[in-house]
Amino acid sequence: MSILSIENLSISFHGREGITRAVLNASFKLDKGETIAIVGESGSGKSVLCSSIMGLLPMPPARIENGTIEFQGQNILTSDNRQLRGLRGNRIGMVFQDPMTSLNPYLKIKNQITEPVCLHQRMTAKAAWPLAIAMLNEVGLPDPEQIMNLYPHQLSGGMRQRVMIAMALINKPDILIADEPTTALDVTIQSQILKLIKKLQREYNIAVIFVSHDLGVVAGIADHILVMQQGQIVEQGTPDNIFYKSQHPYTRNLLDSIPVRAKTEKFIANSADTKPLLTLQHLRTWYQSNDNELFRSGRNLVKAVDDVNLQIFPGETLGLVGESGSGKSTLGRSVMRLVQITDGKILLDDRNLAELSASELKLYRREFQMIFQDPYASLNPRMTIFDALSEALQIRGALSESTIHEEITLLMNDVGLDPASIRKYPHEFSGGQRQRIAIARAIALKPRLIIADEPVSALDVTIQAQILDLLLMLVKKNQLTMLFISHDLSVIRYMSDRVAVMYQGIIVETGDTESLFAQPAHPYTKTLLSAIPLPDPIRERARYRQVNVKSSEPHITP
Amino acid sequence: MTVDSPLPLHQYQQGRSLWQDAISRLRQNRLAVFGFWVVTCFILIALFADLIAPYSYEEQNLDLGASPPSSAHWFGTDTLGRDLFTRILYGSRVSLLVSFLSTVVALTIGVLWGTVSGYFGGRLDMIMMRIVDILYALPFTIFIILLMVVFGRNIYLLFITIGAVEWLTMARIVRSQVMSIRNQEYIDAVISMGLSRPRIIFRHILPNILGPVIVYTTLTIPGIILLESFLSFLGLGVQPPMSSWGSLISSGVETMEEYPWLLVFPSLTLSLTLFSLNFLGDGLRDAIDPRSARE
Amino acid sequence: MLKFILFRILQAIPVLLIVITVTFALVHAAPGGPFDSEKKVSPEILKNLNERYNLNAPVYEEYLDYLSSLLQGDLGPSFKYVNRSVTEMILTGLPSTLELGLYAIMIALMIGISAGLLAAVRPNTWIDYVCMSISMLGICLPSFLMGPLLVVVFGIWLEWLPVSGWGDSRWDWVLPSFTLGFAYAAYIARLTRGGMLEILSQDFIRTARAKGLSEARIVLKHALKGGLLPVVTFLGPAFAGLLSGSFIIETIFQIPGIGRLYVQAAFNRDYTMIMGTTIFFSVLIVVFNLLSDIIAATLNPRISYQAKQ
Repeated sequence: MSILSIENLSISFHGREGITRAVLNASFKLDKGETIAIVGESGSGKSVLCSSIMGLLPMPPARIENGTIEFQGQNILTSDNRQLRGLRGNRIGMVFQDPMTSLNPYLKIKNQITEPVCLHQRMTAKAAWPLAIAMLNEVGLPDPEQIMNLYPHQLSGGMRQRVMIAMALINKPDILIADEPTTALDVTIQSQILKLIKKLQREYNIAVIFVSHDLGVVAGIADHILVMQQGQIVEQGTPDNIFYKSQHPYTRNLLDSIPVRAKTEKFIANSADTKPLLTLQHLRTWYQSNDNELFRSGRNLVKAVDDVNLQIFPGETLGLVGESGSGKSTLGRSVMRLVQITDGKILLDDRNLAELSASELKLYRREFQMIFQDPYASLNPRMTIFDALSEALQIRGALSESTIHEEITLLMNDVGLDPASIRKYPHEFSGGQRQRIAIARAIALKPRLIIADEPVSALDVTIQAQILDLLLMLVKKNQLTMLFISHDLSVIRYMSDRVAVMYQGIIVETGDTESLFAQPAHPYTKTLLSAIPLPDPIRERARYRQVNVKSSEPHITP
Repeated sequence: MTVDSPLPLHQYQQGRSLWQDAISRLRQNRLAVFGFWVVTCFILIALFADLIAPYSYEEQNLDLGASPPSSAHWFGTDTLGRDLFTRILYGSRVSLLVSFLSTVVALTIGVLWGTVSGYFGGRLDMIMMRIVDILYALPFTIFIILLMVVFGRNIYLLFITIGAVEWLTMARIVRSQVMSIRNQEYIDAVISMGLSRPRIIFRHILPNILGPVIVYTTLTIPGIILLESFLSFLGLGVQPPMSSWGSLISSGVETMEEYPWLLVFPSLTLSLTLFSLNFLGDGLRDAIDPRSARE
Repeated sequence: MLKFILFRILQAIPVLLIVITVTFALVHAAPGGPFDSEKKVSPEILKNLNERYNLNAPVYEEYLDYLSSLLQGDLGPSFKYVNRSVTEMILTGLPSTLELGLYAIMIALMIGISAGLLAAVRPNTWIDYVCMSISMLGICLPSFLMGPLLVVVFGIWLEWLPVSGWGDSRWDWVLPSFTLGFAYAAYIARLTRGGMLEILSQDFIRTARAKGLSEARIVLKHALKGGLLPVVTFLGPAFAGLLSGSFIIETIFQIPGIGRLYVQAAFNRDYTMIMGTTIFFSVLIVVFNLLSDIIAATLNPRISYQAKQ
């Protein structure tokens, strides 16, 4: 019997700029103990759909146009606030995307986790204590007694998400709604959290609505998948049907966007007789974590990059992969000399860039260019695209106005943008387009090395695929050398000729992409590789059979 | 789309800059537009006070004495028979002059200090901000009174001291803005292009902090007008026969029961100006940073 | 936390030293000199001063002398009134000023926080607009206008409340405290609204809603602590503002507090009195800034956590 049924639901937003249709005629049913995954890109309406189940949509501006939401015979849409509050946190629990901001920073864990129990079961905080401890144990947190007395900022992201899950499940709800619960987490933590949700779901026989932008993530845990595009459920079915026999072009497009293949055209560097373009020797970047403290002490020393040796050969793409806090971005920025280097050498043509003074460095700057993660922050919002690109071009030397115009037209064509739009400002472009502009700016200087720091991680999967292909095309066409930094192993594999794996400031393993992925040597690389969610339901399901859900993270963040 | 030569000019799509967006948002805010025009009017009045004024500000007419508003004297006359309308016109000169000049002083020091501190960061930033912290803790209103007592009522001294107080907040605002812009990736991008430091600061950082600076400036001016009026009210501002709004209100209070118009008109003028500047400032803030307007 | 408090106290010391030194230097640099007999100082006072300050000694000795007597709480004899010491006069005025300040800040907090909360809970409704318009009025109507206005309406026309004095009748505290507190109520209302709106738009408020909490509980338990932080940090500067506001209020309402003493001293050029009150006010302000910073730090677990390390 289904406990939740949504029929013909349409939701729109009535804002100043007119009406936006967020959800259009959505219908589905959720059975007891079943897991439904809702997959879609940003703006597909998946989160709005979830919030409407909880009665959490802000009305106005949101408006239900038509349809019904029925939870165990109760019509959510006609329920009053009091009835809805009785369901929230009691019969329906919810976990959100960003554990860093979803817990109240001003209250201790104990106050937050016992709250739903006190509220819905009319218990005192004291009576709720053992329940909370048991629940924290259930979600695999070590030493729950201690955790109860901490503030959220004293816990790591993965631990906070476990607390969120404990809080959502403490009243043993019938439905758990998880809205992108692992998107903000590292891949190894993600796989732990996924296993945890699966385990708890089996234990308590809860129905789960799992929202994600990533098809790979849901392949193993979902019983049923809904694919949403622009407010509509375009396709639904079992994972096997969606992944192996998809009918709808949008679903297929999503599936194709997952970079599964390894890079096809390989650049083979023969290190015996090719001279490396760039050599890093014993590179160290250490810094004090509290820069503003008056009394500095050695305790806060962070070894972001520690004794790194690396070579990049001309024409190759070196992938640098690691989780958050591994120091991969700091390494990229150290090579660019955007951060102060503690020690070591950066050799370009036998010249040590680490030793250059600020003014000498200026001449060498343009040899390396960088592409950044956030397309919204990587362009000056007050400069037109023309101004931004011509500024870059003028670094190459005094160029005439017509040359600049020609070059910019060429660049725009290269990165697949309409040259007619160069008089526009960054905010008039989409995220993907902005990333193209940032790429154009980087290649405008004809640098010898491009450092791409997570260039696609802020983009939707389909856009991500387009940008990756653009970069591959440009690398081939202009014979670029690239240091490609990413947390995403599939992306790294798709882009790189060689891969370096970074962990806690150290390069733990380097090697040719194929052999590294086939036979990882270092235990960390192995863990990392095994944690990648694959868009393959059969292999993914096997993952959830052996279940160990203990948190493997250090206790409290430093 | 395979044109490799530049397009003819008319084929370019013209973009809308953030400034254009902000101005169109500001235009929709009626209170802010009203504030803008009132402030403009007062600036013009202050500039051309001697042309507009029907009388001289010190011309006494003891026979007339305090007379209520009439066709000859729109706002009436004070106890010495001086035309109140004229005195308010000239008062706006003092009040606005002091506030604008003080703001310029505050703006110059504050923006320089904040930019250097925010851009270079590290130890220099720490030292510069500790200095600001310490100065911030000083009771400046009391010091200004002390200065006025010790050195006599000097209007130039007044605006320099007020400016010297107000730059502290400006420096803090500018610093935090510069730091947040400094951490944006596009600054790293232009650094890696090898642009010179002055160019980065003037072309890439300052234009982006202009918004908050303009807003804060607009909201500082009413504060300074208030401070000047406060001092004049205590008798520590401008000296008679020159008038400022504060001194007019002060003498109006003394005779408010007998000659209420001597209090009413200067008060209305002062409040109108303060309202207008605040509305304009709030409007500018909402227009420049639409997120702060909040739906 | 202790380290944080200690650090802030350490920071307060240079501030006080600067205040004392600058005040001393300013008074000394006054044209004609403070101890010049250009203003008709009576011979007795001049004698007093000479004995007290050793006026013929070099300036630095005089300065050290002043510092050491300051440490003993001795602010010297008055310049204007024979046989009265500055310390004594300040202590006489202190109770009224403190009382006035206390009432004013309580009025400001009560009105300000409730208006701000109302506006934040129902943003962009008529409640919000009314609250914010009144607070705009408070910001644009300076106390020296507000005071006379209230006196005319409630004291003279309606004859509801006494128009001056302090401690003479039961209701004479109302008008001065309200006049002084209203502008700060306005600022606090705006700060509360801004702070609460900021907090109410955070993700963790959505979490609280998803738990099934009522709006009232969300506001009181989850939002208030963070939302009022800006108000708490404002209390320090607000106190400084209240003190200088008391100059005007005490003058208008003829309250025998330190503020009025200060204004009178400024007119009489009672230099020792000015020095004394300036230093006294500064100490008060520095102490209150310290207090408001410490309260803000205890409210914010992140700061107290960092300070603990």
